[in-house]
Amino acid sequence: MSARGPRALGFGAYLGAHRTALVFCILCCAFAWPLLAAMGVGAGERGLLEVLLALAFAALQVGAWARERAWVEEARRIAGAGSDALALATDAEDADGLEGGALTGAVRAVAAEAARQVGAARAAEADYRDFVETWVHEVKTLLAAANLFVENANDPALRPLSRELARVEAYVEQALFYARSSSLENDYVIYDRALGPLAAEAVRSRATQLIEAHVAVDLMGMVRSDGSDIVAPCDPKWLVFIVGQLIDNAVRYRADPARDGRSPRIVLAAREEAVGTAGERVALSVRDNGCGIAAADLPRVCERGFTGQNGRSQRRSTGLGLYLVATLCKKMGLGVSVDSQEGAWTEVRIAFPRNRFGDERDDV
Amino acid sequence: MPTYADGRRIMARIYVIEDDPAVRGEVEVLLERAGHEAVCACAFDRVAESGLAARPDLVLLDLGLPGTDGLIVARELRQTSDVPIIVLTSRTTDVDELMSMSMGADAFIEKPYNGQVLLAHIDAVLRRAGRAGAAGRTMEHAGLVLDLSRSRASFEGREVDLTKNELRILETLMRRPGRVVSREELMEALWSTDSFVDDNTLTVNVNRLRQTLARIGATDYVVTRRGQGYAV
Repeated sequence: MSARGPRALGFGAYLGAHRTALVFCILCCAFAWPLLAAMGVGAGERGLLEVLLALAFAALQVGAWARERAWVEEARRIAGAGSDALALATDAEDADGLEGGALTGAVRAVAAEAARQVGAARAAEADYRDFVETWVHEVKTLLAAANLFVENANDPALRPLSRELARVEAYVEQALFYARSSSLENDYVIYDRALGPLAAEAVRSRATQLIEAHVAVDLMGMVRSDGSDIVAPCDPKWLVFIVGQLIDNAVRYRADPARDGRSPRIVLAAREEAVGTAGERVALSVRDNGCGIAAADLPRVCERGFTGQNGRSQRRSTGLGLYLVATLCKKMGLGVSVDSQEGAWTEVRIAFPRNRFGDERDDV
Repeated sequence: MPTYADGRRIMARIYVIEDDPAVRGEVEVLLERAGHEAVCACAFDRVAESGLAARPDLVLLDLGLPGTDGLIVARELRQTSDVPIIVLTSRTTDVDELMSMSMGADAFIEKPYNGQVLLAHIDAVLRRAGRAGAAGRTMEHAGLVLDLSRSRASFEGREVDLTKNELRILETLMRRPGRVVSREELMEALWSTDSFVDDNTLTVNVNRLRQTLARIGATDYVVTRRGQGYAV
């Protein structure tokens, strides 16, 4: 997009673009002189006629320039408008003249059709989102019944079933948030929440998997050293899902006591950084002591479908977890960074800017 | 105090508004095993009215109902009664939670939920509201009585206070008397109350529970089944 606005169409530039017509006019005037002389017109009259002819040509050119200038400038404005192009094209003013009129008409028709298609796509996307939300709602009701059944039966033989149910629940949740992440609508609600209880909720939602894999969880760092809550702006449901994905990864790529000589562990911590400055933020970190990520893979771990060396060797990776984490964080305006040392640890950090919503809140 | 036919006293009458028959059935089993009386709604067109006619001590309300909305039902209940309401839902936006609370719900639980967590919420809400059942749920096995709401164990006339973790472990063991409860199950029970213990801490907690019970004479009440878990 041009910062200077559309380029104006000067008369010189116009003549340059219509060189052929200009040359024709000059040739006409040049040929008229000997022609009129041969017809016996006197020199004074010839001069007058030549001036009239030249003036007529000039008037025609200026008139055409004035007409063309308006729609060329409009067309250039639309061409340079970037993301506003569709809105400008929809409102394009009718230009005078044949070419201008035809062109603005065509531009408006294209814009109207594009707007119709975007509208239809948005409506279809919203329908799809509704479908997924309803579907997830139904499945969760079934899962609730199944979980209560297993619990009421109180039979150790059914434990594997409750483990599988927990995994189904995690995948259902992933489908829901995948639909949300690719949605054009932003349906999260951001407000200040204590991060400790949200981290605890995420851990609870993965209790079966964590206990089964003998992974110890440390949440001590989720509150300040005096025990008070650390608060950050976020959508609680989204954040619980995000932390759940990070826990899933930490469980999947956990340390093996026999191989690595250390028992698997996840440390969740929140820290207030750059307090009192414009860059004040809360950093939530999820750190494991698992197999880590190869340095070559590290820059790509948040790409959709990327599984890397770990994903291929452990054969359980969908390549969706970190992609969803990155996408959802981006939507909420949170920063994500992944750091790791292969064979030792992985740490994912989520940064919540503190002041970003302060102004908006004051207006409420 | 109303009682069941078999003489057990009824803790609280709970009105269940849930349209899924499978969930409704399981919730009913869960509540009655915990000593509550469950009354279930079968039609949902004038459910608030029929619910209040049953004079419940507490209402469990699902938000997604056929032909009406749980939030509307919550408001109708609130207009004429201060009966405690616990909202259960599988909808997963925060707006529902905020709306439910503003409509006067006392607690909000997301599906799928853990049954013991639901019972704990019911206890807490009843206690807060000073309703029937606030006296507390109790369990009994082999001479030991566990008072869940006061977190006390009594054995042959002697009483002792239990810590949160001790209570949770003993409750989980007593829910399956005479049979083995695996370490994983005990850890899950503790984790569901945000006590994220690891393997070693569980062992320490179980040993502390043993010492506490020994103080009231219930020695060797909790037995270890090597490689399997624990049992009472």
